[in-house]
Amino acid sequence: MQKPSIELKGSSFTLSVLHINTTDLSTLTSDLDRKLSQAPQFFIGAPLVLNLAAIGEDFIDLVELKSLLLSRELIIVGITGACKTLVEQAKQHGFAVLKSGKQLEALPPPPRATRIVKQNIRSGQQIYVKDGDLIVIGAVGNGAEVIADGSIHIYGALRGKAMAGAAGDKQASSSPIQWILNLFPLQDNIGYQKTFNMNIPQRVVVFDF
Amino acid sequence: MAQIIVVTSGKGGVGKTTSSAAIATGLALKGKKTVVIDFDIGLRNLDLIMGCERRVVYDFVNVINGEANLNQALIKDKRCDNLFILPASQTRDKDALTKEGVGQVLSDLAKTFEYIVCDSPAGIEAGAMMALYYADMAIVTTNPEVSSVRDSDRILGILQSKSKRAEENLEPIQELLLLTRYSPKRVKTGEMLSVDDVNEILAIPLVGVIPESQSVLKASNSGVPVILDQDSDAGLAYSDAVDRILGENVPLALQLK
Ligand SMILES: Nc1ncnc2c1ncn2[C@@H]1O[C@H](COP(=O)(O)OP(=O)(O)O)[C@@H](O)[C@H]1O
Ligand SMILES: [Mg+2]
Repeated sequence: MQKPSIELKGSSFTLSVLHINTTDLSTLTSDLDRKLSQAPQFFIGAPLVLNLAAIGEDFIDLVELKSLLLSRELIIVGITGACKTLVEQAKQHGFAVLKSGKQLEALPPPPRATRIVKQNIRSGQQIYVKDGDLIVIGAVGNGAEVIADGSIHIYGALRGKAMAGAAGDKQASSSPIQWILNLFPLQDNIGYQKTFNMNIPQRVVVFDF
Repeated sequence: MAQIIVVTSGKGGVGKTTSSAAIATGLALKGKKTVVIDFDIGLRNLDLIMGCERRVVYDFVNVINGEANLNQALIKDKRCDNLFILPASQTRDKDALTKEGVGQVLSDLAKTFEYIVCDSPAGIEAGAMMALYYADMAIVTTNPEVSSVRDSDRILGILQSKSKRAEENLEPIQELLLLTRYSPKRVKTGEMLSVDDVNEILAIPLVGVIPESQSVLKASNSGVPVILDQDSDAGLAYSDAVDRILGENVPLALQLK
């Protein structure tokens, strides 16, 4: 079979980033030359990304900058950290606009609140912890319900209903696993059955000692 | 400061009225000025058990509605100097009790009485809520069987969330467990839960264990609170419970034989 004329494949390269801290071209030129004289071989033909964050909204002529760098055998492949007007200018003149790795990173999930309840949960009572974990230090009575979007720890007998991971998939991204921990045996001996009547998601793990 | 004690359970027929009469009488015998109020509007029987049915002229609802004053409605017990009864109305329904009205009557009573014992109706509706709302102490009356224990658990949840003390974030109501109609024989055969079983589930301090006893029926038929029958096991058990309510440290041995 013949190979297609083009193929698109992802790959990553390490690029040097040149931080531009001034719009004054003569200062730039002299500082650049000093830098190059320190390690001329290293920089020859090097592809560079210009980081323009430091100059903020100030104007700089990218074409002039490009020819300055080209004259020193440095090749600009794109810019990053630029303000809106500079991004426009860059697009017009065929520069790639790159987002730095840091900007791409997703925000860390917000810390999950843990609610600690130090009492027996009685029949008819319901405790729900939205976006967080629940720790019960006490028993969960028959007819009582403890529900959390996160995990549930019960340091006492569980005779009622416990439902962890109640938010479903929404929560799954920030915490891969929800679980119910019950350290005390259920009281089957006195007519109380194991009422783990939970429609809990698959990824919930129940530790029931 | 008067102490308001509610005798409550959720479930009916467990011995709330029997216990209210016994405890109120016991407190009065200990020299405490005590009033016992029947909150079971429409199904009154506290006055019957207290033996003052024929002396009821005005009742709790009359006082709330301003149709009579407290002195007219309060019935002085024939046997104990320190004891008064505020009977329920037989002709009204539970909605006759309002939070403000009950609060007003309780605060008026608190001026002269040391203990105010509230005999709660069964259930978790208005009447029962009124009886427990202002309480400082709850005697959670429970029979050693699963359905009664569950209802008591439910009442404990309500005491902790719907009472005045809960709503105003004050020190919680003091909760005490009173096991009634306890039959050691039936515990042995597994028909009934044991003291330990109930304790394990409800997990509140035990104030007394009242045995199932013929003397209770005899006492209510003759209109004499069973605590006055000191030859009976149930009467003695109520005396011990009263001592514990007053903070005395009495061992539980007696009734469990
Ligand atoms: N310890 C006991 N032993 C035997 N019978 C009892 C005992 N306590 C209560 N009873 C009986 O149970 C029934 C219900 O009691 P009562 O005090 O009216 O309950 P409640 O007020 O909770 O409805 C009455 O017939 C009473 O005589
Ligand atoms: Mg009653």
